[in-house]
Amino acid sequence: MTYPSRGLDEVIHQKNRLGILAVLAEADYADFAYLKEVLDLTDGNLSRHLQVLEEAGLVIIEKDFQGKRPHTRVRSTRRGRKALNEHLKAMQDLIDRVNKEKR
Amino acid sequence: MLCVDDGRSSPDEILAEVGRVRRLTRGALADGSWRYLAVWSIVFFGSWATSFFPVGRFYWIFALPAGYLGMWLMFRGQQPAAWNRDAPYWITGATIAVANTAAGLFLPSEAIVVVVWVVIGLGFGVLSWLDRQPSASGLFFGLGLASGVLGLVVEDRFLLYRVLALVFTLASGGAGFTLWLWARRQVPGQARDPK
Repeated sequence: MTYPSRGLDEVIHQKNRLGILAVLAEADYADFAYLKEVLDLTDGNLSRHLQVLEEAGLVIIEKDFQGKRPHTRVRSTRRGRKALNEHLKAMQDLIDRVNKEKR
Repeated sequence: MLCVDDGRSSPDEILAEVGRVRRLTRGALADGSWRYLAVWSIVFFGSWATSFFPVGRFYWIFALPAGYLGMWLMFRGQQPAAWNRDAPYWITGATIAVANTAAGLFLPSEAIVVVVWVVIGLGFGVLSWLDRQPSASGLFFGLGLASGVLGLVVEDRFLLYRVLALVFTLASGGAGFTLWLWARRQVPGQARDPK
């Protein structure tokens, strides 16, 4: 039997990246400003995490203009949604295993 | 304690955090849902109020475009924080409009007064499902189906129309108010766990 931690995805294991994917599991699109507020991140931090997720093919970043102001929105890919579900399941398995070993 | 991520958060804490951001995002989506439910609650009330007068026969010709205009006015200038794709909503809205217009053109008036609520109930069930609001979706699907069943057994169709108009007014108004209250409670920062 493989240990459940092997099912954890290193890219989304980071708490904020997991948070980004969790937001995008509930809504098709999320605004950059909304992600920043919900996850309590700075512009730079959020941009860096989004870049990592985009490079892994888990999110798509779309940029346009609303009037003269640049606007960034993010959406999850099918791969991103699948990776999140698998990661959460692996974490739950890990918790269950640790709790079982404690008893 | 088993630690992951930055060495400070346990898996339990991380899963709780995931739950928190998911709740907040559902709240952000609900902030859009209550608006159209409020608009259509007023439209449904109007259908009940005008049903007592001869002019009520033409109510939906004006009410349908007025409802869509009301929605456009409510959403105009709103910059949503998190949202779903527009296309499924447009398709569902257009289907409701086309189905009820076709019913108005081709069915006898005894049938129209029931079909209009069946279509609205099922249509709003789909819209609520797109909003990921299972309770509201179940409520509207149930009302749509119940309207169809009542249409088969109740002989006084115009009384039934008035009763259903009031029921749909209360259902959409109540669901909209509940979502509005719930969305107000899911404000980022306020809902953050005090750690």
